[in-house]
Amino acid sequence: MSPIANVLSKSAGSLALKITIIAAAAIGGAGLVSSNVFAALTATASNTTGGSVTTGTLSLTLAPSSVSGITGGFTTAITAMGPGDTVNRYIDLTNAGTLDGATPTLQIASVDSNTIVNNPTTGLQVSISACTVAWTNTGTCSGTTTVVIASTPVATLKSSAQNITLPTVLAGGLNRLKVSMVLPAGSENTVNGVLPVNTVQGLTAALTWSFTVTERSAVTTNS
Amino acid sequence: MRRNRRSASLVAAVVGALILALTQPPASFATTAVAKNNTLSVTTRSLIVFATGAQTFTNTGTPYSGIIGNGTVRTFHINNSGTLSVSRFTLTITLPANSNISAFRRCAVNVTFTGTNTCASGSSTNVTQPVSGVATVYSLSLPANGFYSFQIVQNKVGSLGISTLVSLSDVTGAVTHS
Repeated sequence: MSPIANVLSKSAGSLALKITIIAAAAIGGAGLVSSNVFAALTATASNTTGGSVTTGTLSLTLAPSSVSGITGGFTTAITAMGPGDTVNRYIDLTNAGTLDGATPTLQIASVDSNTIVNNPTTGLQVSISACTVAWTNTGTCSGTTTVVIASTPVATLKSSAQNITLPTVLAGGLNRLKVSMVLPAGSENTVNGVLPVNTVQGLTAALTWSFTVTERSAVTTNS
Repeated sequence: MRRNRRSASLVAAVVGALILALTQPPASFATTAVAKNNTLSVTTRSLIVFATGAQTFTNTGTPYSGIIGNGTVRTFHINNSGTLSVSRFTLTITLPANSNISAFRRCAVNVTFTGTNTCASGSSTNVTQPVSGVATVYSLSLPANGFYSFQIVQNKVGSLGISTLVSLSDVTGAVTHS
């Protein structure tokens, strides 16, 4: 190698070394700067107790009256109802939840399809009243009565839920109900022992009673 | 290339919809509570009244018909095989032409005639004589699974027909608490 080439080679090596040192310094500097940016100081305040959130419940229960003599409720079958007959059953309907209810309704379902559940005129009619105290076993109320639902055909209650007026839908509220089922006095004629077409006689229907309440309106509280 | 773009668009749309769905406020819904019984069985009664020669609760569903002789006693029964009691019933009795009735009587409820004008217990009672082919109302209380035994005597030979009619309007309702 000539002296000139040797000098040039040394100069190039020195330059490369300088560039390497500068690059390393730059990267190290950048690293220091970036670590300073992301190392933010934090402070936390948290409670130690009292942070529990509990949700309410909405629950409706149905039970026969506990008054002796009128405990049939919706469980004891009605086996021999004649036209013009009224059968009264006594029910305790309770909001057993912790939330108030609203908009109570009643609907009746039946797997049977016959005149007593399908005919709004000659079929079964239902009315319900409530008493502020327990009903006696002769159907009297010594307190105040409320009409829960006026006489309504089962056919109507079967087709859609109907609004009812309960004395209370508040949490823990108890409604003492007298449910009156009436088979209207008919004018059917039986000729030579043959029942007429679409008769109300000699039929059976299984009824499922559904009382429903919705949750009371949502509220915003500041506390 | 075009297929890739379509796939990318589809994925973008799905992701977008997912993001939208997740960021929407919760839909409001009403909480409801229902109280329902299992089932309440309701059975209705029936009123099934018919005429027969011999007493029976087997219903043929047809009018009674038989032969009747001159001056001979003919016994028939009005039966209620239903589960409802009725306070009265209508009989339409058809007799031979120009027939004259000389006797029409009955025993007490659920008591049969054992011979001419002889009841198994007690004595017979005369009842309103029918006019052939004309409906006649008999105000007699006929209980469920009950019957009346009748005897008729007239002066012609021919056919005897007895048709029955009962109406729910003659049934009295009741109020029960249970």
